[in-house]
Amino acid sequence: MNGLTWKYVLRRVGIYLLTIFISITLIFIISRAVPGDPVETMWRQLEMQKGQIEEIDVIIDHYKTLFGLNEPITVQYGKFLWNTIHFEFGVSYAHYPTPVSTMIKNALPWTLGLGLVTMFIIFLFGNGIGAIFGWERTPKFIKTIIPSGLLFTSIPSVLAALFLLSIFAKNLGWFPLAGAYSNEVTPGWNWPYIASVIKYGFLPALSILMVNIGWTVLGMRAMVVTIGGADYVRLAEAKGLKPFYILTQYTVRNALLPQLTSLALSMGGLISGQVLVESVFSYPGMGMLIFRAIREQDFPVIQATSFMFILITATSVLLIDLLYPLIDPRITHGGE
Amino acid sequence: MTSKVLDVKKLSVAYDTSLKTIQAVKGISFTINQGETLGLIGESGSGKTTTAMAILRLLQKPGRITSGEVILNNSTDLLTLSERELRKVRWTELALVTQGSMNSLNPTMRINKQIADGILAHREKQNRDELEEYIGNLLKMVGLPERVFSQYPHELSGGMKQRVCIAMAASLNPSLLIADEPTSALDVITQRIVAQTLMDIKERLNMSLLVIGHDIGLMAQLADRVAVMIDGVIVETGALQEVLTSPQHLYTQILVDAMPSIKRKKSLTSIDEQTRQKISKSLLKPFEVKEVTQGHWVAITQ
Repeated sequence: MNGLTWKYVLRRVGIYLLTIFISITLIFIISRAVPGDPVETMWRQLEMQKGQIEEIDVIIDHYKTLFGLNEPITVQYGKFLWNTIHFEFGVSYAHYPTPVSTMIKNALPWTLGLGLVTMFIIFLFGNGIGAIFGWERTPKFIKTIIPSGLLFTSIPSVLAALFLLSIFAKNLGWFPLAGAYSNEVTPGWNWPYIASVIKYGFLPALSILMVNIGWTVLGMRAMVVTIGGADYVRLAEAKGLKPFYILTQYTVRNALLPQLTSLALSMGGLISGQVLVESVFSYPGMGMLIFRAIREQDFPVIQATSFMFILITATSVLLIDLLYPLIDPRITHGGE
Repeated sequence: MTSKVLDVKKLSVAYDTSLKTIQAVKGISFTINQGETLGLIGESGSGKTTTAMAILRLLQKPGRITSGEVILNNSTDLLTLSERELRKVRWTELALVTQGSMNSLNPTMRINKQIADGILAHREKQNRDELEEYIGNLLKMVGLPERVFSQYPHELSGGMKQRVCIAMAASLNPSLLIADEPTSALDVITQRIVAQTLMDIKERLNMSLLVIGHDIGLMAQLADRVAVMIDGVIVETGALQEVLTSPQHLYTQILVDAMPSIKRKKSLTSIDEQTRQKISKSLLKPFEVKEVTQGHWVAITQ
């Protein structure tokens, strides 16, 4: 390992844990600061359905004890913290008595699968295309294609999703309208199932990709143009190295770090975009889960999914941070 | 009879801007003999670096060579070579040590790899151990400790980086080494070490050297002959001693006067705006290059 020292890893992991701790605290505070409490919401719903309820105080008290709302706030906070880090989120209100952790366990693989694959493709192809666009040896006619790639960058991912859905799924019928895999296949490591997953995931992935890849392309292009004028690139030319070798080993190698930084920064946007795309395609992931939970005012699910999203974002940023020193040897030392 | 390593004939370089075309180098000619060091002296913007980059054909757009010939080893005109042929000549015949030691090395590549890729681009596949030993020896030759081999540029000081660049440039034993302000941005002590290293390497490998700079003190240490450049024109060429002791052109005279001496007390003069303008104007008129004494050429305006 190049510049990856224990000190660096420990510091990064420390920041990571601190981020998670703060986020749990914020979720706790926010859910108690919003007007009305979950119990009140529940009895209002009951009231609407069944009219006047007798001995409502007893019921409220019972529920409050059940959810631990009668305890002092510090005890509540401690329990919440303890439960959250053990992935215990209680049971769903809307789908009583399904444990929230079960719902998340079912949804998480879909979101991670879709998100990671899309992100990987965006990073790989976005930077590849950007490098080619920025390279001075690329023919002019190829460089003029840039604006068409930019066209989609300015539209929100939901619109892109609706657009793709209506053309390729509804009108042309090439892709399914909703879901994650066909009913006719059995989940497991078999080809029909994998093919089905790819087919169902294609349009959601494409709509996230279409909207986000433009920034990566533009960023890489700008970096390659800038670094192309650096002294060490000119010296590499003077060495008589092959142009493509200079592009990959001298230019792109140095351009990747800022690209990795911008990937880390755009992680939040990517994930929130995915929430909307998932709900458009009724893709059974975390996005769909939080979308439904908000509509149903399902507090435990909202808290749990929010936490999971923060966890995913923080973990990916941590992983990128740990990748830095492997790409740029200066990082570890720069921080001291 | 000494053979010419480099023969530059009527080289002109222009920069195209949207408003007008600027002639940065105006038909200059000079030669460098085998084993000789030529110092190209001039102020900022005089066209020194542009000349060097034109010889190496590394001019960045919008710069372009408008006319001239650059003949290497009495045989090849560098300006007519195809890209492929040019790549073969680079580093094997013509090497470069750039200005400013800070940015000449790839920050994300270990020193040994940066030296190795220049060698591997021109030599047949080599035995790994032999290559490593060879690079190790190169680093030893420029006086760098062994650990530098596997270090990154940011772990080295400015002077060390510049010595790495010299080792790198010498790696294929080129016939001509172009050093473009090799000591700028270094403190005087480091400057001396770098200049010494440059001399050592040159002697050991029997290279010819083109040193570019504005530091006459450095030139006095390195060069056999000097060429004084201003406004894209070489106004005086000659043996170092001769040019410094009996400068013929007005500009050279002023340049020499601006240099402090430890032997005698004198007041330092600097060029005033009017004189500078006058020299510039005189160079716009046609002039003749005359040989004042053996090998000492001066531009004389008619």
